[in-house]
Amino acid sequence: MKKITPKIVISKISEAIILALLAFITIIPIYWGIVTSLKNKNEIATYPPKVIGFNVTWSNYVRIVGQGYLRALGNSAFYSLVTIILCLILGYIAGYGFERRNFLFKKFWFSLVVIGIPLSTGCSVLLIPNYLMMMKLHMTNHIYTMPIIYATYNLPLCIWMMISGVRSLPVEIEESAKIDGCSQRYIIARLIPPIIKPSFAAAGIFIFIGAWNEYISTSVMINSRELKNVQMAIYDYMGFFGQEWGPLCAAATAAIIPILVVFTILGKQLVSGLTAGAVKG
Amino acid sequence: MKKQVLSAALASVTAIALLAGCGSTGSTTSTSAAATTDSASESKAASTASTESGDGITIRMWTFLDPTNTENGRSVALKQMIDEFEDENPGVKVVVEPQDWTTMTAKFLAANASGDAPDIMWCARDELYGVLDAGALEPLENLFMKDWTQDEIDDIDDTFFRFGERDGKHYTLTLNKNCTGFLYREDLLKDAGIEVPTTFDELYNAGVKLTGKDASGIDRYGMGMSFSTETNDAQCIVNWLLQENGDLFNKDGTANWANDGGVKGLEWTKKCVDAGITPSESVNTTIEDIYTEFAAGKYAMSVGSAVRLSTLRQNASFDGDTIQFAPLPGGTVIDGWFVGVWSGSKNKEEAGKFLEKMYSPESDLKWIEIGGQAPNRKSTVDKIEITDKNKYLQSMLDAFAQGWLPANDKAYVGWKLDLNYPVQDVLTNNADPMTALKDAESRFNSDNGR
Amino acid sequence: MNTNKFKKLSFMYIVPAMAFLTMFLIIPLIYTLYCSFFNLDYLVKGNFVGLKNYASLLTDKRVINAFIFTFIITIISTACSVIIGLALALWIDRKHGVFAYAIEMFGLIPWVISMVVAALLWRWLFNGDLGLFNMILKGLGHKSIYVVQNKDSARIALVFVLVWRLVGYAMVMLLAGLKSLDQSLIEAAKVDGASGWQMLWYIKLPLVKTSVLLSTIVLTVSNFTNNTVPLVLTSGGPNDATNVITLMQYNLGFRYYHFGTSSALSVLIMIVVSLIILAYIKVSDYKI
Repeated sequence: MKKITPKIVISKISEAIILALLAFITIIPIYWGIVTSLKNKNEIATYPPKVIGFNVTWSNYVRIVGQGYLRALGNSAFYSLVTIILCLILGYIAGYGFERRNFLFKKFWFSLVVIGIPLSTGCSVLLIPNYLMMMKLHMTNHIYTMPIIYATYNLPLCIWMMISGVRSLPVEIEESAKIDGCSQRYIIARLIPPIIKPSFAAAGIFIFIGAWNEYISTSVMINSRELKNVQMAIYDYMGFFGQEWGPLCAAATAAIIPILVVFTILGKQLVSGLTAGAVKG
Repeated sequence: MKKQVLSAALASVTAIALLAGCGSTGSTTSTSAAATTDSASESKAASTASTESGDGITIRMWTFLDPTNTENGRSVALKQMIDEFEDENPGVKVVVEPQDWTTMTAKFLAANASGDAPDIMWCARDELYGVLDAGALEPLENLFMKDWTQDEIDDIDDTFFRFGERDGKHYTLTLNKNCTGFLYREDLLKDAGIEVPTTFDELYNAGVKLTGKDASGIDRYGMGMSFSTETNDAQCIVNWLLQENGDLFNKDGTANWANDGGVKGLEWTKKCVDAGITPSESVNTTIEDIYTEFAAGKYAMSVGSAVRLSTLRQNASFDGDTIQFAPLPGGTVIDGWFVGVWSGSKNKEEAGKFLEKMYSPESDLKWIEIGGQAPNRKSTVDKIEITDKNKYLQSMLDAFAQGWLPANDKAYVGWKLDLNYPVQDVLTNNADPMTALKDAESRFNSDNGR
Repeated sequence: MNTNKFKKLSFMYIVPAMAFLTMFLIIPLIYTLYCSFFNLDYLVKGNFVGLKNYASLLTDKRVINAFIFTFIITIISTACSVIIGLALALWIDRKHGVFAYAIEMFGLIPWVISMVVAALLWRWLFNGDLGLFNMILKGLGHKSIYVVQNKDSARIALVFVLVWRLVGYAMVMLLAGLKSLDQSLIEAAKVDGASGWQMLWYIKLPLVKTSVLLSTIVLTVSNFTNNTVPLVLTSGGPNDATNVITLMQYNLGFRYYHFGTSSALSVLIMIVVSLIILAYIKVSDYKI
């Protein structure tokens, strides 16, 4: 039993203050977004703003669902899932190769990966060239179009994350496994992945959010309403005739929920610290 | 050692593959108007199966309107036209692929370059020059217009129609016609005993009278303006230039802003801000902020476009029916969406038919009654009744009749935004108006390659 | 003999990923480079202009200013995010259960919400008369501050939103690094009587170096190439005060349709960002 000293009290209080401040700054725009999504048109823009005491309406949510929001949500989930699987497999194998093996021009190949990073994070640098190329290959506007693009954008960093994941694993584990007669395939497919789960989780979260939040290239590559993703569904309410605040905020709010679910699942890998035991064992 | 050679060979093969890939994609760009049609027919032949199921024909259209949107009158009107058209033309389906309006035209140009663009395209005004330059649109005279009588052509012949003309052929019909002026609240003007202003002095004086606190103690500004360089509606300085010079550009297409008219416009704008009838934060508010704030009741009058009136009435936190529209002094900037048929389309006839449908007298009434838009045809004007509630239509019609558009012989891009730079410069840095205008001129000239 | 066979096989590990990247990233990149040597207004191929597109960009004062400004805000906001994120990660690392979960969620939401909507909401919150920010100020008896109207406050607001957006990301990535530390090392240090600070400085930080490096790189790239937040929050103004380079590149392409010049600027941006990453790698002494 620890004694309660003034020092501990102060540190507890300051922790609470930091947490409250953090929560406040983080939550304020989100709160405002949620509030806006629950207002009807005439109450959204008022003077002075109504923070509380408005009529709660679900009509904005009903409306976005009526305009195919759930379909977009499903598409985004599918795109993200395929992207994650594709990236993690390619990234892990390449990451293992970079970390544990030697081959010709290794530095050159690694520098290609490095160059890939600035091209990747959703900026518009490669938009038109990518579009023209995908058009030539007749690969725009298909169900597999966006997973390919998202995977391209996220792969360079994923490779690097997996390199550092494999690096955090002592070589001795592999060596002793080999002495025990494990095949190389077994080591790569079965032995290492469970041990470096946090790296997979971290890369997975990164890829998921990258894929889920991508707008500009999706809007260019996809034409059909049936294939649009959730970000396009959000942007639908920022049309030529201005922002429709209600449905816009409703669509944006609803898009966060699946991310929080995924994070809760993958995040466990980060929070609970499963790794230590595995490494020691 | 041997293996090293092998790896080196592999690497060089990869390098060659890279270059080859570059070459093959490189050819994509080599598109003059003629080459486009070639590659278009090629790729169309390849993708016949996907666009043409059975004996049916699918017409694809890119626009920012989403027919599934039941809240926007224009979308509802468009949906009705599509349904009717499909009933009248069995076997033809119209598919709208809603696009982001800011990147839509660039995407169309790229799609045109690689030979798989939509059959019908809505182009923004600033970009139409480039679209025509790329040979991406089909002359309407080759399509439905070849059967039109002179009377029919006269019915739609206006400034907009002539804007879509090149070498004697017409390429577009204009939908969503729009004009910039100012929005005002009739009730507040009546209470203050003010007539609708028609000169800049009157506008200023009205602004002064309307600024202040209302009964519930809320600050209200007389005149809302937005000088963000992302604001896409012309602000008062444009009207000042039009009033003093009649045009914004010289014959050679360079900007003509650093003159008396421009200085007067800047001084008037600064006067409004200094007097507090326009909030000082306007220097970086966008037009979207202004509409949101107008709906919240922050302004008695504000610069804005006529097409936004119907939405504003719905969103207002006060009685929306008191919002009206009037043209600004000096001249009115008009705008619209220029709709044409893609030159590479293999269903040009049908696409043309649908374009004609969207412009038919019956559809015109739909755009007006359901979509809250202004008439496209002269003959429609007699069919509508102007009441107190929709008297903004009259203002729009007047504006269209004498409105101003830049010429379409060159690219005129970004001038509305460029003209907000000197305003910002004067308001934030207290810059010399003439120097600020000269900077804006050179910005426009260099961005447009003059 | 055996090693040689191994070498060939070793290369095979990276072949799938590299083939993928080459196809969809490197080829378009080379194509961009190719485009940057042409006059490509409205995507109609014009004359070969050599380095003229580059020359016109590098002699344009606006481009240089935008580059410098972007560089500065990138460094500042990245440093803030990483430092705050690291502090939070070290703090949560000692916590468990619901509490840790709650903090992570708080930190994460700004990163996962649609960027454009978040920026719009901030813009609205900062609004002079309708925004919450000024409502609170007024409630405290302070005069309204028009945040995006003033050059300095617009810049501060921009950095603030950039930091706000990515703190959570830095925190999660660094936390992942901390969690994968070998606990036995830390326990050994404890037994040796290392103080909290010593533990942090000599044990934990060196071990999460790669995590720090990676998040710094991601944040740098993300901030450098972010044009959504500046566009929505401040529209690059007032008076170009918050005009970032990617906003310029975007406008060159999608507003003025100078795709040749836009490609050239893309290449320049890519070179600059790659140089920054290489500098990080050098400084952190990362070996591949």
